Amino acid sequence: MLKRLAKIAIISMISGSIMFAANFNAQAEKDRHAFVNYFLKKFKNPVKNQAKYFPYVSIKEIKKDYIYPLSFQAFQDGSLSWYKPSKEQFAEINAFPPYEIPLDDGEALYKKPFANGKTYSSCFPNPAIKQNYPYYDTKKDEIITIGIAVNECRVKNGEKPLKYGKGDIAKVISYLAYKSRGQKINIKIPNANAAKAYEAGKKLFYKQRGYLAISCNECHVKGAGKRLRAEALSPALGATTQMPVYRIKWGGLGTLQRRLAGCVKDTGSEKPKMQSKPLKELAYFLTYMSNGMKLFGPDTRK
Amino acid sequence: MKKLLLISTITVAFLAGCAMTNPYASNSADSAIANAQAKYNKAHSEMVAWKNTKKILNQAKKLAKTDPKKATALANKAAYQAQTALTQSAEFEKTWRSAMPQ
Amino acid sequence: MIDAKKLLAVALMGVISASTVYATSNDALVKEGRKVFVTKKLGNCLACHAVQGDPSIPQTGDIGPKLVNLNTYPKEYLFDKIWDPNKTNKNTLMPPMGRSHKITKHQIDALVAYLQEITKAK
Repeated sequence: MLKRLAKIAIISMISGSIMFAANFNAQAEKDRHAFVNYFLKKFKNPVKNQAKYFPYVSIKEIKKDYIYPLSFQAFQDGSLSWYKPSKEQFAEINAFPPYEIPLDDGEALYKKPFANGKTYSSCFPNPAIKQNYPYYDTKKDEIITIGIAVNECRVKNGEKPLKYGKGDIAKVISYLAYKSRGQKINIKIPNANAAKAYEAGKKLFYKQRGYLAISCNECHVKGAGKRLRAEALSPALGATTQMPVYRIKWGGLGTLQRRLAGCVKDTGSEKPKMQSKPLKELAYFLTYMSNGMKLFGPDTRK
Repeated sequence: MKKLLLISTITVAFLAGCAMTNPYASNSADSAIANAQAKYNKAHSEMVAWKNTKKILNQAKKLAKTDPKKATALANKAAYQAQTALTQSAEFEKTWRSAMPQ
Repeated sequence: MIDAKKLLAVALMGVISASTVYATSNDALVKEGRKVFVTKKLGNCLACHAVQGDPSIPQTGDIGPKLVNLNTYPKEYLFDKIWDPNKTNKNTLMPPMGRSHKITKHQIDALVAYLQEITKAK
């Protein structure tokens, strides 16, 4: 009898925890489905759906310049996924990808021993891990981005942490990204605090801000597939698969954190600090939205 | 006792009058800067401050002694920005969810 | 008789010069408005809006509607739209250029003058 009771208790505990585990990402899954569907529908047939999604773009231009329909995976290419002129331009540029040299540097850094003789591989024995970042560390109760993981590895091995955003850290991450190409993004929401972090990131993404009173959403969801002056706006779906990115504008590699900080600033807001809590939450939310998409970093963009 | 009360009332009234009419008091940028700083701090802590507000506020602080008039104008500009940032944030708080894909 | 003619001439000249002054000041306003429309640090309107009637405008975006026949709208309506479009449309993407003091009231007046002039059906 006692045994049976214990059994029931254990079973109910397990099923309870499974139920809970499923609950933490319930809202996020709902959001993600709506998000992905929006993009798939929008780019299924822009000519037919012009009035709904592209009211101020001429049918003529859509027929001439747009690429469609787009599959889920196609969104890994950002603005190049839908805008022919950009795609053609970057096909030429990527014949000799500008990220190749920093990527080689990244590989050298990854393999170069620290002062204690160990290398990054002591922390990342399998470098194909980028699909799991950023993740919610339930013990530390915070989001760990890949940049933080790289620096934690350095500190653990007696090295100074690297400056975030660009330079060596972007190079090392680009090597990890390169080795993770083809892996599917796999972001989890393990507990209530992680769900809170997700919600905070979501709000930062959707709520208008800055003196322009615009949001990430307005340019990269609603605005995706339109032009801001001559710039083709990239879809937020798949946005994190291409990171770190070599931007012609930067003349070098930059991390997701750098890109996001720049985006927030472009709304007319104070630039948030890299690896600050809000920016990590934004990265967490945004990467979650692309769950299941294959990585293709590093890549080149305007 | 009555006298004391009278004197103190007069003094208070006089001081209040001074504060209202004293041209030197309004020439100082200090109160405008303090006001702007408080509003900026609030906007910053809520992570809604605008791009240039801090810069404008710092300019105001720099000019506080040498050009209080300009400093006050700058401080008021910073205060306006911080206040508008807070106001619009409260407004958008009510509506942002409706912008999500359904 | 001569005096009357003289008077008429003077009066006429007065009218003509007044109207030229008016025309040049409106021209100046229109010119200033165009600058606000295309300059990134000012209105940067062309980032989202194409505009009818001004082929000299560089490549525009296609996020907002093409601006046509704005001369048929009241000036105040256009001013208010530019000042803070959120007031009349909660879901607008358009930034509140006036409310955020990104451009001045005078610059908005100039912008309205430019848009009404340029989008007139010709």
